[in-house]
Amino acid sequence: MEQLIQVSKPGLFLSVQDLGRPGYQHLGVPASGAMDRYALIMGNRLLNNEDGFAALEITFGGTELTFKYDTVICVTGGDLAAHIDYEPVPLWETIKVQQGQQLIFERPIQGMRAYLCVAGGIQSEVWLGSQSTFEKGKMGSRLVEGDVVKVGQVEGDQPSFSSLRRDLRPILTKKVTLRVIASQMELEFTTASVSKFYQSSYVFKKGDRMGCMLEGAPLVHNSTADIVSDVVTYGTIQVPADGQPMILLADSQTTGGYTTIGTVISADHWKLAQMAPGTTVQFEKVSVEEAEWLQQLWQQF
Amino acid sequence: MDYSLHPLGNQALIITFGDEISKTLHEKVIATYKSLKRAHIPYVTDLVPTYRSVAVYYNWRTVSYFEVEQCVQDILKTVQLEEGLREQKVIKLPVCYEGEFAPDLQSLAEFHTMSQQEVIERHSDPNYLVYMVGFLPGFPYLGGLDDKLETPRLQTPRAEVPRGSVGIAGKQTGVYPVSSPGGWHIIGNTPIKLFDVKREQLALFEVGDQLKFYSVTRSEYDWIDEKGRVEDFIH
Repeated sequence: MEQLIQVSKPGLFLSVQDLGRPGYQHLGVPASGAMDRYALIMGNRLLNNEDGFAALEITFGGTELTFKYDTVICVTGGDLAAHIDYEPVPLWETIKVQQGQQLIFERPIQGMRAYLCVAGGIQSEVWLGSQSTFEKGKMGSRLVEGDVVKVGQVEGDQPSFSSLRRDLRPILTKKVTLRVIASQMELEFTTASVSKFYQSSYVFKKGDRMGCMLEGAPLVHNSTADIVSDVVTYGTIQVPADGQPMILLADSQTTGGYTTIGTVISADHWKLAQMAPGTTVQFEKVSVEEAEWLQQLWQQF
Repeated sequence: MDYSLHPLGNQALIITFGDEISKTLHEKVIATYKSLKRAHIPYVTDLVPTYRSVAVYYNWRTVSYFEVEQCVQDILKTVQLEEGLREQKVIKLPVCYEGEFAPDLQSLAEFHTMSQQEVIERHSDPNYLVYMVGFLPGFPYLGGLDDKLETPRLQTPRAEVPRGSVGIAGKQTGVYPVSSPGGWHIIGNTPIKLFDVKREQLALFEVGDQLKFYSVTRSEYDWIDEKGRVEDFIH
């Protein structure tokens, strides 16, 4: 029997994502990949999949998926009120599903993005070494109603029950602290506005996979907001002329023409992926060494 | 060679040579980029050259910033500046400067009080330098536009500029690799795809290449669109 999942309703944005496509940024191709890599990797590990197996990234909810075969899945990331036959689906643990069952993601309770990892991983076309969807570059497209996705064969037995330790489950709150490594362009802003940036709080307004906009105390440029283009990446905080921070996300362009204040460290990327409109954000400056230490802690399993 | 090293988050190290658009900076960028590429450092995932810098992305799961910094400093000692501009590829890009492909040609000519023909000649005369590729897959940032063609951006950007459109904005000229909104004055269109994920040569341009536009008629455009092979335009 073919191992398929049918998209009955895609919801706001449903796409295939893995760990992205590094290696082509010099040609202007974004690294892309899952917004919340922690959720993707943990879901895969619980299923005995490889870390980089592709999964479905579900944004905001309103999503209905129908299983065409019996399998084992793991839902991770944000709590989008997922249920199967009106039974709530527990996050961060493996569950068995049967042919014909429907998995529904209703709406965001906590966080914005959930990951459906499946034993064997989602199969789809590979573009430059990755299955990650990047529509602007014509590398795959979002899933729409009626689409059918294939799932890979599991080598050996189906994975047995597995659940992530409680203390390793991220706690999503309406108030997040994003740790930042300062950019060399910090000097392009007035000292007073930089101190204010790290002392006050900002509100998340809106965003997509490419970037998000925050609102709060404006940063003040010493001269101009425009710069001779420089490299930007997932987490880079750009500041256009209005002084409001704009954070680039997984589908970040490779270069940018605005002054930057810093880059959010990798250990906090999951927070960026899960921020909902209205979330309050505080920035905290850290050193590279601290960022590396925090990443190490985060990686322990 | 003067430079400074800074972290880009904990994902990359940026080597910065300055903060302007100049050939001198570009030579340093290219020479450094080539040296780093040749070093094949195992934990480096991407090397990204820009107008002013080279970013060294590394696998932060296996190496620390400090180690990358040490390694980059050693390589920077060996960089040969004159290497920068060796082995430049020249790409000759056919452009049809006619009709529907050139909605802003007439207004741009009037703005500069010159004929359409003069705009085309001034635009297709220089050898442009690809300072960097970024923003969109395959998008070249070009230097070398004739000063007389410098034009402020459109007052109101267009919601959709077709793929292949050749435009002018400020001191820059460029080509849209994919359809996208834009405020450039569109004076022509090229049938050659700047980026094609299904092609062996993914991107037509790489940093350091030279670009020359040449004018083709509508029927030549259609022929190239149908039968042209990308290899035929690279010299």
